[in-house]
Amino acid sequence: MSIYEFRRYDVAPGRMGDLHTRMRDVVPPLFARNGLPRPAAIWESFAGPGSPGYIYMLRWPDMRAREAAFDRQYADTDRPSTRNADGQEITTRIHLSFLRPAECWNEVREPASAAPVMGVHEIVIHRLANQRLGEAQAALAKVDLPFLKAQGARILGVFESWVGLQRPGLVTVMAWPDLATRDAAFAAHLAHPEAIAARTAEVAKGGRPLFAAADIFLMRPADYNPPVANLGHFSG
Amino acid sequence: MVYEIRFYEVAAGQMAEELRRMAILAYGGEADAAGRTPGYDKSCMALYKVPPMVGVWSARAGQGLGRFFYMCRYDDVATRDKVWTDFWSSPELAATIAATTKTKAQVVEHTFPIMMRPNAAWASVRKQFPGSGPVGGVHELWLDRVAFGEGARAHHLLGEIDLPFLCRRGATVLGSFDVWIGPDIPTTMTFLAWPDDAARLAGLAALETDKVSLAARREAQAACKGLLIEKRESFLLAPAPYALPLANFGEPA
Repeated sequence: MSIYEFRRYDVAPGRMGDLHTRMRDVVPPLFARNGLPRPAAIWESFAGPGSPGYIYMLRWPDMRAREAAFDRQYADTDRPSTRNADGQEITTRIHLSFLRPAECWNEVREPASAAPVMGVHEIVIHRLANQRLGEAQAALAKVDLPFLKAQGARILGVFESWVGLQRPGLVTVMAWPDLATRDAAFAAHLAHPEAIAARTAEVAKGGRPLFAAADIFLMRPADYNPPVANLGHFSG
Repeated sequence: MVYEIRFYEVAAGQMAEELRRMAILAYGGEADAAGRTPGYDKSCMALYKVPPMVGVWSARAGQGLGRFFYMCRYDDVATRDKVWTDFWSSPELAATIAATTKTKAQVVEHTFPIMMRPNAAWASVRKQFPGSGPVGGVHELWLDRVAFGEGARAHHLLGEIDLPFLCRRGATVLGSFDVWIGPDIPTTMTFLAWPDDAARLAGLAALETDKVSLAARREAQAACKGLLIEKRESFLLAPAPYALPLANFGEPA
């Protein structure tokens, strides 16, 4: 099973451009020669915790491959400093976690395509009631994600939190044509009778909300490393 | 060598049950009044090669009360993934929980696993605690949010100035780590043990006014043009009697 590394950086005010330049022009050849994959996606967050933030995801076959590649990367003498040309740190904090593809992703996957997926993207980190992960996956796959797809969302990925994030948790990655479509869908979802009924039934069944809380990031995909459908996950 | 600390958010009123459950799963049965258990070798964690805990604690004070923590050490994170995946899907785990759980209430609300690596601050002080036995008393955990890019300077201040000072006043350093997989990197996590609350309070108060520490802190802040430690969060911990950690978490001095 693949694992996904979810790297989120808090960026110092005024230094986002430095980071984009570095990740677009300097880092890709270093990643390639040290065995790191091309990121499944790179985003700049404009709303959500730590925004403005820089986020990217790396897909690995397993942790051993990841550790070996990063060991080479950190030992690479061409690796650039963490500071910009003025000697200032570009990022202020890193939030590093690992995710596993959720079983329910397969139910909402798109046909494979190599076309870039642009627009406004959204990551939602759902914190769940304990021991109800399967129930939450079923709810997302049967109720919530189909509704959001009908409102214009494309489902890029659904993941289970594994380490570095609260567990149990599910992480959804979606793409929207624009912010207006996303906001309209968000409002419609809050008022959607089937979703409301599902939340009510979940509380009745478990004595507490199944979806306890969520962190939401709104993002722009980097045009130099845009994601493709399903983040390329089902394309081999 | 990598370490994992798992923060648990335990439901109100269920801490005793969680401590009892950990004794059963990791030490083969409930602890008696003296904290004795059948032992790790008789546990279902041992069956699946989940390594023995290096420490188990409940929080006495700190953010989000109802906190329960435990820590494990692995050769690498791939090993960690394998043993826990095997354990969580094992019939023994389900059977043991079904046979021993005394409550129908939810015991654990959430968990938060974080991977860490030993840091240079620990390397600086670990020789002070060679080969000692289990460490009881009062434990505490510091989470220091370090200014980005200033890890080496933070390790120096902690390992060469502050921790030696606290050790001279009775503290035992259990371990100090850099968060490797988790939120808010760079963060260091340092575990200390004290003989009692009074010794801890006196030691920390003395550090606050220690001229050497203050001068080192001023120097570090001037060099990094801001706060070296941007924020410190701390937890006061009660170690589980059946899983008292060793000094240096059992690593060679």
